[in-house]
Amino acid sequence: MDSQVLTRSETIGHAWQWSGPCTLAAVREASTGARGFLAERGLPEADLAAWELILTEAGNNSVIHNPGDLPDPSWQVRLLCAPDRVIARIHDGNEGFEFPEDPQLPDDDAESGRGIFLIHSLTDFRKQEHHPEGNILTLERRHPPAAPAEDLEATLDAMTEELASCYESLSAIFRFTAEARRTTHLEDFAASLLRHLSTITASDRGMLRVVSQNQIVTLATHDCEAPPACHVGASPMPLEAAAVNSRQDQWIEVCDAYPTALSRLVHPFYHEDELMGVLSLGRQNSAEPFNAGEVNVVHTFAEFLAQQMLSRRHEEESIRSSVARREFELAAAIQQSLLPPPLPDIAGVSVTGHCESALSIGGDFYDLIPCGENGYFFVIADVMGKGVAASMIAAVTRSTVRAFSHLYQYPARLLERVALQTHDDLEKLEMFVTIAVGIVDVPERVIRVANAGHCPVVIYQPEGEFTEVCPERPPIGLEKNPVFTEYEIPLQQGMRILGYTDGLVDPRNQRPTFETQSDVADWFAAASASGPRVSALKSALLESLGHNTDPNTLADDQTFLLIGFD
Amino acid sequence: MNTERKDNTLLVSDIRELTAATAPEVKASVRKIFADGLIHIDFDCSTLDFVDSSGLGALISLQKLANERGGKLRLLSPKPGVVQVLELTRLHRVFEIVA
Repeated sequence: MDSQVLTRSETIGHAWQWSGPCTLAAVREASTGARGFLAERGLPEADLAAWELILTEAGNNSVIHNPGDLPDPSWQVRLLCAPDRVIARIHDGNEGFEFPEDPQLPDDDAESGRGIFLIHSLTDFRKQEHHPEGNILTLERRHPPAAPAEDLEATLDAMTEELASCYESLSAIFRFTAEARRTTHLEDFAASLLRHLSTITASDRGMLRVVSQNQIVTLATHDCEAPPACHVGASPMPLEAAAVNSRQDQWIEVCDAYPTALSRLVHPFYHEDELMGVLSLGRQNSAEPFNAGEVNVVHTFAEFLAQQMLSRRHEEESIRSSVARREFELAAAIQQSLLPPPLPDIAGVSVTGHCESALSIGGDFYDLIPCGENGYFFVIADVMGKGVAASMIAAVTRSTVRAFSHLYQYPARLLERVALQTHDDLEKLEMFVTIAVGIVDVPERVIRVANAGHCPVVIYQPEGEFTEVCPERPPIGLEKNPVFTEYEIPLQQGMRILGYTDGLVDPRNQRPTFETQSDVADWFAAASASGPRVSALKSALLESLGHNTDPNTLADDQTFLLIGFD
Repeated sequence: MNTERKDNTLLVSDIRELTAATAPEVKASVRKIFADGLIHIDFDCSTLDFVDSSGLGALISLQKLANERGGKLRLLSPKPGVVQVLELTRLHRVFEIVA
């Protein structure tokens, strides 16, 4: 390879020539050599970079279109550095081609086809000539004369402006971080951010839309009208829809398709794979496209906003979760407080009970109400469902039963009144309550029980037999005026009564349970045979149910009450 | 050229020129290394002094490679000269550029 500098007279500037083989490696050697030559002539960096690229692209073209059977496959470059321009004459042995007058960029995903566009963009004059000895491409690029001293100030101003812009971006981020902590409403924060971003990127309009519950809603606008909310993926605005669907920035610049359009950039921003929003900026008074630095600022701000949105969301979720947990704890405490406290024996009648919910709160409850010196009225019930709704209905049912205290002596009539009173509300809520109530009336030596769709009430008799008061009518809430049967069993010393909910026979519970209601009755008869106190019976029953020994949680509430007469 | 695997991202670095002379080898090497489990490509441009249209084509090819696996190509710390070429060809809209 042969590289030499030819010096011409100063009036026509300096010339440089390079010749060598037509290969990609040689082309790079020539273009870097040309860069060095022009650098010695004092050309600015922009021109040096431009010529290095121009000559590389032109040389690549020569190599790629070299037919391979040329007698002299060489490549030659001559550069003339005139005071106002650089002229390049590139000679190769190819047939050459017509240099297009207005080359266009290929599609964004095309892997080739940009070389000619680059040469065209970086030069002011292009001419292709065909000669018998080969092809000559002449390219010219004007360069500004050496900067006079007074322009240094302008250059310094431009540099200061650029630095200030970077500083402004950074300081804005810091400022917004502090502002985000102070601002209560995300809308106010977003409006401030959008205003500043518009200033930094010299945009005169902007719009920030975010995703909320699968809708894209406008959070802030700058000098433009807010479009209506729309479903994600169904935006009526073509650029926004394209940005969301393609997950890529969308642009509009002044071109044949959009001769009067402002320069616009639409940027969809994400957190991991979740679309957070779309940031749009536009220039109405300038066709200048957004440059890479400005795009970077837009991306940085959008990312910052996404982080703020996530931070807010986590904060709100945390508060909501905390409030919900507190409400839940309060509801559980209230429900526990509605259960009867330890109660004394009355006229030989002893009582106890147990209520454990599958969740912290549930729909089971029992009630034991002293009836003066005569004995106890008892209630065991199970509201369909679990959680807060079931616990609320349980509380309402408990209060309703207590409101009919004058009917404690007549359990069936009491249930009929409770059914009438609560039917409409339960029907509206599509809920129902199974409930068994009864009274142990010592003076009259009788137990009266009524059962609305609930598990049997088991009554152990000292002779070793037991009676089950089974449901004959549907639960409360299904019929407005049901008629209930009242069972009357003579009260005998040594009797034991068990009321329970279906959690004791629910196979979904991962703790030991009874398989059938008959198993419950059999167990109860066996356990009561020795005449234990109800407190001992309770301990035995809890042990059978794995209470305190099995760490598994319940799938269904477990509740029971025990009454003894001695 | 250096390559380094970080989780599901392949970091490509230490490339000084991406041109018609070097791009095919870079492209082929990355394709060979881009094994299962890799999704994204981070192309460290901090040492990249020069890129031509063939180099841009190679970057687009690598972006397609990442896109095929649901990933993306990021250009890290490109020098001003490289950014200028990206802007000239409007590819700064296509690539994610991390300054």
